[in-house]
Amino acid sequence: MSRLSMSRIAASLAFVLVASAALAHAQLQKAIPAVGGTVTASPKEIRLKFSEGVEPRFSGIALATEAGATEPIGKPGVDPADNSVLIAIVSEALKPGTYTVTWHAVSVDTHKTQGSFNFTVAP
Amino acid sequence: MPTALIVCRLLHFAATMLLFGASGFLWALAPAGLARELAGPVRRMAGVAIVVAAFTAFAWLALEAGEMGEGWSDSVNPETLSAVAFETAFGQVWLWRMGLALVLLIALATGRHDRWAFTVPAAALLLASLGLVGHAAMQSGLAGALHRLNHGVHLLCAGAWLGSLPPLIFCLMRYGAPRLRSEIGLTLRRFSGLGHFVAALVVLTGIVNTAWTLGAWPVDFSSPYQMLLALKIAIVAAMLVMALVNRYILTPRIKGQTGAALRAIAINSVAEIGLGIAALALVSIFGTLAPV
Repeated sequence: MSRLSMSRIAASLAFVLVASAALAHAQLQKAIPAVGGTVTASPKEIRLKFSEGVEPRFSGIALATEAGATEPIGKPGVDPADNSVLIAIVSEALKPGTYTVTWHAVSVDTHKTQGSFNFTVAP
Repeated sequence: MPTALIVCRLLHFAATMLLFGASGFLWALAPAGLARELAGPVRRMAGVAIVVAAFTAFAWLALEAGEMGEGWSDSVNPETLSAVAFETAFGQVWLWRMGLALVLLIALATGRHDRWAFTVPAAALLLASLGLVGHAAMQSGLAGALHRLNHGVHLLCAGAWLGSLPPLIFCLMRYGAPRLRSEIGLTLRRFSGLGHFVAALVVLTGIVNTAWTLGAWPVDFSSPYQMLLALKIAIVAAMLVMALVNRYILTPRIKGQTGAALRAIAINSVAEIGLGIAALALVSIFGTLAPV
């Protein structure tokens, strides 16, 4: 094995040790309200569909206005029929405007992911 | 934090495989006379393996709590630990595994871990149940069940192969003793027969695992997961070559009591153990990565 490929392997191993926490497992596949979408009425819930099952106890959804104020939202649970769907109830009707959903999830194979997206409630 | 989990995984895989493979070798392959000779060393190996496997089983839960939570503080936070143990899919499996590790630890503490008819099946359960967590747990339904079953078989075969190498080397070193020679010869023939089957299953279940987890051949080396998996496959291929050299080139050359062939087989087997540990280290790393 050449010195070059040895150093490549060493570099990859080092990269892996540093980067492993940041790499993703449960990916967001679909959201209701949709990522970047516009809804005409205040949504009753935020529904996130992931690429694999998630652990509700270690997953969370937060909702904030454009100005950064936190909107009250229920503790998330999974759809009883599908543990890859995370649902949180929106407690109060949302006024027209743009909102940011910030989520984090632990997949059933124990890996962490996070992300955020916006949606708009039309006036 | 990820590094601690990787080290914990490596130690746990190695200890569980040694426990299953070494005690299984003694229990299933060695005739009575050789078994008496092997009992002492295997008993000590199994004792160390039980302690390491049990300690790392508990440590793994704590490190997992830190991974799922906010880091080191959650590794020792009773609330997070209990949430991981009782409220996650991982915990459902892990509670049973920790219970089993505790039973083995009690057997060791009371000096009964050399009742192989108990220890071998318990070690098999401890090893195979690792297939219920991790990437094999990402599918649900029938596909998920088959993936877990396949992974369990993969773990058992890898453990049978790697864990039986230390007692095998012990047998090779004792080959010079005339009173044991026929029994050691018989054990080596049994090991060879089973070895073909086990090694073939390791490869087969490994391919199925890759197909299910990755869905492609690991040839895209820009992905750390695929690069490390490809490296692991290369290592296992080298181990297969060494095992075949041992069986088909060196074994027919064994003549007399010691000889170069016997020594070469022992050296090859030690190298095989080294490569096997390297393979376990790689899977300890890429098992924590996204399979993309």
